[in-house]
Amino acid sequence: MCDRCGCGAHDHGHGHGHAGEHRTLQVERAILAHNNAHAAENRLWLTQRGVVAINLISSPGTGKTRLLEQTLTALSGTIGCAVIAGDQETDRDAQRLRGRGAPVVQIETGSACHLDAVRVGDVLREVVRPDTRLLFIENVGNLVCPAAFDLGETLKIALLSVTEGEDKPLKYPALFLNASAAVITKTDLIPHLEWDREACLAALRTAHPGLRILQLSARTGEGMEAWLEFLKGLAGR
Amino acid sequence: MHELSIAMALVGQAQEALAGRAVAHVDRITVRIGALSGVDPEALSFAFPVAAAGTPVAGAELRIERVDPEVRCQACGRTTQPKWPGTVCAACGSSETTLAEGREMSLVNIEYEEPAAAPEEPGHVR
Repeated sequence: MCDRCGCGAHDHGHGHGHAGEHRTLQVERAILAHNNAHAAENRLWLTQRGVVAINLISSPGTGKTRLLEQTLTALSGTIGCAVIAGDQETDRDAQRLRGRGAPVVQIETGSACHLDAVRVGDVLREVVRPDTRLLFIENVGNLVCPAAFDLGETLKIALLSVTEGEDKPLKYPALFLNASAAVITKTDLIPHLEWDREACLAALRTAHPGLRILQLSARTGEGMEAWLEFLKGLAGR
Repeated sequence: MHELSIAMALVGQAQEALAGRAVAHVDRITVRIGALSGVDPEALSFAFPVAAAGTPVAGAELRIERVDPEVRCQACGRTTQPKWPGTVCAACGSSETTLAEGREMSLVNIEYEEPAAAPEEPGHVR
């Protein structure tokens, strides 16, 4: 006899009904189906307006904001740009990016380590203007978490600074595999580091054969021309 | 630690899937997690009870089926498990491959117990 409820059964659960049938419900659905549905809505909305959305993902301190500062200034007046900047706290990035000819909206994610499609969808109508062709989405600085969340972007670009060493693409393959291009930043610092360019390129190609790789310094301008040409190509110019 | 977001999404998915069903208790939730999904299974196991607390799936066991990467080779046509890290075909060494498996992040099934039927009263006519 069951010693908890006094019934004749031996094998039923307690605190939740009594000797009911056990069933298995087959679901086979993406865990992030809700996020993915919003991402699909964002993607459709952006595509209908001819906007190419670039999800920029890297560790904190890789130089995403600095690269965007230079990029917005360089493209001002030629290609309509807009920026969504994600950070856990503060609107410092948005402040740095304003005044360069592009609307900027900051999303403070609070405790969340990544942007999601719902938060991005909430600000799209605010940040995208009729002349916007390139929307930069500066994700929260983190090599792991943002890679899992589709925002509805056209492509993901992974950034990697030379101060982070050569092997990040092997340690965080999910991001580099899902990225359409990788940008190696802060190349002006190479003379001060024991950074092996060939090893870094090999790591990127191992993680993602055929990956488009750009190398630049937003500080000196080295490599910026190729980056801007790449962006113009995306924008169809 | 985006696994807490993933765990919360999982709890939401499970609740949606169970909506309209008579559920006394959820015993087990099975998920499939690819090695390249960006989700750490240990962190997800840690986050799941936190996300489930106070919901109808509280107390359920989380079972994680891990999926290793598999690539389909455009050169030789075979599907192999690549030598990690990398997506090079294990059969012919070509890097012209596409990832066939490894990105999974899905809710597979939910095992639950229905409430017991109310005891029938003697003489009750249905």
